[in-house]
Amino acid sequence: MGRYLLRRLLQAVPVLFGTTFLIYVVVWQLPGDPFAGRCGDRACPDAFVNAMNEQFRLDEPLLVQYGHYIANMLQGDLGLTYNMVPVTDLIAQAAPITLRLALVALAFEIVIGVVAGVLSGLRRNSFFDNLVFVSTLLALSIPTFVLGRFLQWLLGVQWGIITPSVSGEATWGELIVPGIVIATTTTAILARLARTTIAENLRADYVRTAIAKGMPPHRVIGVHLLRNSMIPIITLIGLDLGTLMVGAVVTEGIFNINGLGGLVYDHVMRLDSTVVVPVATLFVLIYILANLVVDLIYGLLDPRIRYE
Amino acid sequence: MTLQNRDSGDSSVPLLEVEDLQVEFHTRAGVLKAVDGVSFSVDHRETLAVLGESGSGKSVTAQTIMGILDMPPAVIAGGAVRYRGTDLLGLSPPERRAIRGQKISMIFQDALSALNPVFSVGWQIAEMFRVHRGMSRREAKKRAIELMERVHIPAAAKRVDDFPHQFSGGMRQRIMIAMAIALDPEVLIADEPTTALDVTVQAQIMELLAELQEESGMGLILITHDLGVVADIADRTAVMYAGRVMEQAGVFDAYAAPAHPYTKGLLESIPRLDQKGGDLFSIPGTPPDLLHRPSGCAFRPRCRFRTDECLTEDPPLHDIGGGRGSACHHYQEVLDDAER
Repeated sequence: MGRYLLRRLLQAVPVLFGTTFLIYVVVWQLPGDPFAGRCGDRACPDAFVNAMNEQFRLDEPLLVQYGHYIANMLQGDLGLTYNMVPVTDLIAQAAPITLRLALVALAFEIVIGVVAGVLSGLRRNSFFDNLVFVSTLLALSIPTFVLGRFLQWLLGVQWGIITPSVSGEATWGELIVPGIVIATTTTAILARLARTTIAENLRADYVRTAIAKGMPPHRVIGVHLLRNSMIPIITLIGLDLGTLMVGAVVTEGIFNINGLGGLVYDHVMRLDSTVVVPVATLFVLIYILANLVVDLIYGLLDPRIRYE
Repeated sequence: MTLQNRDSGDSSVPLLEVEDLQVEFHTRAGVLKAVDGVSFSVDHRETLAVLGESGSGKSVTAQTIMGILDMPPAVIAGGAVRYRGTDLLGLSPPERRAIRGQKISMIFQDALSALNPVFSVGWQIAEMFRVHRGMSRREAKKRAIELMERVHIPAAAKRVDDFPHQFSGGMRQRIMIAMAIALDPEVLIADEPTTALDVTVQAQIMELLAELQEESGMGLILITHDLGVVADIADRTAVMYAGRVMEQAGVFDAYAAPAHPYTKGLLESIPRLDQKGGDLFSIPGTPPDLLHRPSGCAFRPRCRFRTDECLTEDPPLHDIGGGRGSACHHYQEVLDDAER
């Protein structure tokens, strides 16, 4: 177990370097001059542009820049933005908000997706099952940004139930609708997956055994069936953290939330890679760790899986 | 133990009695009669072997007795399953549950898939005591170890926390048996308990079942397609074909002189060492499609005793004396044929 953990963490190192490098390259490939539009209506003086280029090493080769970036990052220094704000401060301010948003989204996914899926798996071909099927189809066919804009317009502008744009505090209440927007796609996939898994395991021999043992239905389903059906569901939730983070970028942009996603959204628009790369790196790190946790949960759920 | 109690029950009422049971499957292609008027009974200390090939309705009958049939698609169209005189088919689900696993229990063909892969075997046995007897975890585990010892699992105390996949096939079936006898049931139904096992292990499992029956006095219903398995342990046999009982007899009688062409065919198709090198016998034809049952006798198309009568008249289970029954118009001819 300890060795397995160590191996997995070591495997994460090249993944982290590889992904950050790719992100670095891609961000720098974005067209446009980051300093061109910074001086109001006039073109920026050459002296300013040169000074900025020098400070942010933009005149050096990409590999050298990346080397400096990594070296500083390993010392805990993420540098300044082009507006001379420490990146660490921005992340520290934004991270709690995104964490709250992610928790709202995760809770929605798990509660609605898993419950709907399990119930429709237990009652296949019922009215409820068909309702879930149609709803998931609908949810899957609407892109996140369309749903976000639509709900913002409908609930925020037309009906006035929510504020179209989330305040600086980003309270739990304000994050419910954005959280649902992020979670929609995964909720639908989770519901589908849970339905199939439950329906399949319902016919398993061990379920028949549990019934033959005279176990009451809540035990047959709640203990024998569910425990066996959790593995694919947990896997999907782990893998989905990626979708969640991408969703956060788009959705935070739409609802004007000052989280990590919003931070990336704003700075991509301004061609300011100083923020984009560290936040993306953080996302990668979270993703790697989340999937490690998922793999460890497997071992708890299924004794046939052992780590050596 | 409870032996005295059990034997002093009303002796005129059989322990478990199946009467004219009818189970249908409603499929898109039509109604399939999987069990069509099956009757038999089993008493304390008695072993009834239900013989038949796949699709003969023997497992469906067992599942109906247990109340673990998937309904739908199955529908119980008629008949009764009486446990000590009470018709189980008329009970409410909670009443049924109180009997299932406690009074009548069951073991299955493939113990690996029948055991839950994610719980330890001890947990699965202990669950019987915890749920039905309200025992504490600790007490239930102690009882689980005792049961594992009773079914002769070596080092039971050490293996109680192991998982099903860590046991051999024979040991897994022993664990199933331990679970099934945990609450001292009066009837144990074993649905092809040795089919998935090696021949040597098969014999050990049958011995174990016989031993446990000897100790507890439970009635045993042994469902199998393997005549060899039955011979040593069963008292009586009911031979099923196409959802019906073709022949009922004491095991010795049925083996010595079958009174139904199907039983006869089954016995003749056992390979024999003294006829080594000769052709293996098999019953010609295939079992009928239950959606399109032949007219008259269901076995007719495969029968060498058939006459015109068999084409139109569906034979009832004739009482042929000596506590035997045969669903064949020509049972006398079949009996005589055996004596030749």
